[in-house]
Amino acid sequence: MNGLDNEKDRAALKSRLEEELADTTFTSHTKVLQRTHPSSRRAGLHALWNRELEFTVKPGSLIIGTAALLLLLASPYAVHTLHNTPFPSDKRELIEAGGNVYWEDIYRKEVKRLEN
Amino acid sequence: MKIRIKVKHLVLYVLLPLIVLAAAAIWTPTAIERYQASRTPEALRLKTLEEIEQASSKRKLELIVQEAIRPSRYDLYRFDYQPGGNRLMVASEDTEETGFLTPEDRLPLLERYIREGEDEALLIRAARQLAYEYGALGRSEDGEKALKQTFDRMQPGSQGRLELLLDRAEYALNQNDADKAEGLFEQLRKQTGSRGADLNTRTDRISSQILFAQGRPEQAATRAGSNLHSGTPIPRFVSPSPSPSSADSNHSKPESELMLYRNLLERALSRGTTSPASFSGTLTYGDGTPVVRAGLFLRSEKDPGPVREGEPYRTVTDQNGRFDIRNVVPGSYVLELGLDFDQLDGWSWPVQAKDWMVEIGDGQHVEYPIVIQPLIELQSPVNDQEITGDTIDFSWSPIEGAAYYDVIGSIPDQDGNAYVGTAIRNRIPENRLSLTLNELYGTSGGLTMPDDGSWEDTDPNRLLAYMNPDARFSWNVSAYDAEGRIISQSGGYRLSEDNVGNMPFFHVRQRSLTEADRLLLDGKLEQALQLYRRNIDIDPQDTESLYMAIRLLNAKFEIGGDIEAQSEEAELRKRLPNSDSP
Repeated sequence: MNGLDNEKDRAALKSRLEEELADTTFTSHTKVLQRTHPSSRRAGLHALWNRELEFTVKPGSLIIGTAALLLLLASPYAVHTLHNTPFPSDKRELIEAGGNVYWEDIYRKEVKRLEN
Repeated sequence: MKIRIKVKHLVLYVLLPLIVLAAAAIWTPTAIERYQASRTPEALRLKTLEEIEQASSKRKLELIVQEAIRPSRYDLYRFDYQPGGNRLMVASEDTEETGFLTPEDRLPLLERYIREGEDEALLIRAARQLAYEYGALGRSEDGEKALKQTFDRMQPGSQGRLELLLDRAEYALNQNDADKAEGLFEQLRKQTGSRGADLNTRTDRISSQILFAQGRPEQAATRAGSNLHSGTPIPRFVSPSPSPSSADSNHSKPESELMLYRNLLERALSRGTTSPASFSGTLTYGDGTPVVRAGLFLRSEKDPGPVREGEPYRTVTDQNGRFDIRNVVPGSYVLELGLDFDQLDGWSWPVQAKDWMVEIGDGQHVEYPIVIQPLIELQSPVNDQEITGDTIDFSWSPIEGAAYYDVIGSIPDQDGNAYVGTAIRNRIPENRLSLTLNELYGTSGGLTMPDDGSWEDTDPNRLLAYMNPDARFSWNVSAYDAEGRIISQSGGYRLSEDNVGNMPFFHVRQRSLTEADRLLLDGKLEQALQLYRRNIDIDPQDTESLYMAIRLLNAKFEIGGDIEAQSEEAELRKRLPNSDSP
């Protein structure tokens, strides 16, 4: 009984659907297939490009990560400043210390060297 | 926390900026270095030369003016270290972006300008610079030619032409060609006609010098005095000044310059020593290399102070370090040098006025070799070393020809400044000195005279001297020859990194401050003295308190004029062990 009813219902549904879709024609079979089953490399890349990633990040590690990143970026500047004294041909000052006359930048450098 | 992001957004907003930043971080330092390298004097020199080389002919002249003629660095007789001032006074470091060319670079540029340039003032400046540089190269004929060539380009009757005629006469005079100088001077007289008597004091000075060189000292003296004290202001033609900031002006205090020369002449006349003398020699470093293009000035002992334009006796050493000053009026002079930093760096030019007095006799040809010695290198104690043992051992590099050395110590004041040193020990025959700590404590640091005359305002740091564990002491050494003339010292210009050497600082921290010391450093000198007295009464072996009581009593007598303090000091001195002199 049940089977019969089902059969009937399905037939009715089908005829209704056919009736409703009478004006619609589906032509993009290929596009759909390309999306669901990518075949070419370009399409593959495109899919990758648009892929959505999901990360789980703890606030702590986010802060640490950002700090590390900034440090990494700043390191070349820091190294540069540490290794470079003011440039000689810029305004230089003479200073007197212990009866000698020095260029101030060289004197400071020497004092720093002796401290270490 | 969950972050959802599409790959494309991750790349666009995160990775790409990171890459750009990283690239900038890597590139920036090298770019800065490249920029800095392009700012060294040598790089700027090459760039300037290239720029001039490539410029169109009109632009070329403009650049020559800007880069080779105008910069004040090229003023005649201008040196980083100018004589006549304090030893430490130096010309301020030029911060202008020009003036990097060497004399050799400038010669062809200046030559070009005197051929093609139009501006009268700049032509004169260029011609003078050329004559000066050729003179320094020992090519005085070329110098004379440059002056003549520029002179020929001037409008007849123009001020510039007269100026250059005078320059030529002075140049000829300095080349010891008095007759040529006179001929040129006669031309000047003819051209100025009736204005002859009205010419400026420079004209009078040069004319007077010519007369003296020709053996007519009385006339020379008359000429030198003719425009002085005449009651009316001295009319003179105005030299077109090429740059207002330039020190190369012929009219800075011309009257006093003439007066100076007249005084020399009058003194010579009164002594009857009127035959032209000469002063020549070589200026070399201790290792034998000549000091090239250094200034040499014979200055009247009666008129020290900064070097003026129009000084009669000045010259520049040539490629062999040779100098030669002719037609000098006999008398006493002070010898002074003009040196640039690179000439001075690491070398000692000890200035003690008396040592550089030169006596030039009647008609005498003085040959005077000058040797600049290397700075003495201090070996110990240096670089803020702390003295730990019972003795302090001073040592330094020996100087050839030194008969003895003086070791001088400096005690810093409240602000850490040590302006004047006092002898730690004098006349040390060797290049080392060993003192026990007690001897060092007993060494005086000198006495400052307070402005208000109150003995309690003298600097307590100097009184406590080497007994102060908190002070940073410095020391230096001077070397003397057998005649007692200073030949070198450790203090001087140490500019390049190679010459910095050891720093002359040391500390003596073995003592701690006593209550009396603290009172002293607080400026309570009278209270400190009481306490030191009490300390000696309690412990007669307390030499440190004894030293301090003696120093304070000495200050009280020397500054305050307290006679009682003097006799008490004398009594205390008897209790000193050996021959200590606090």
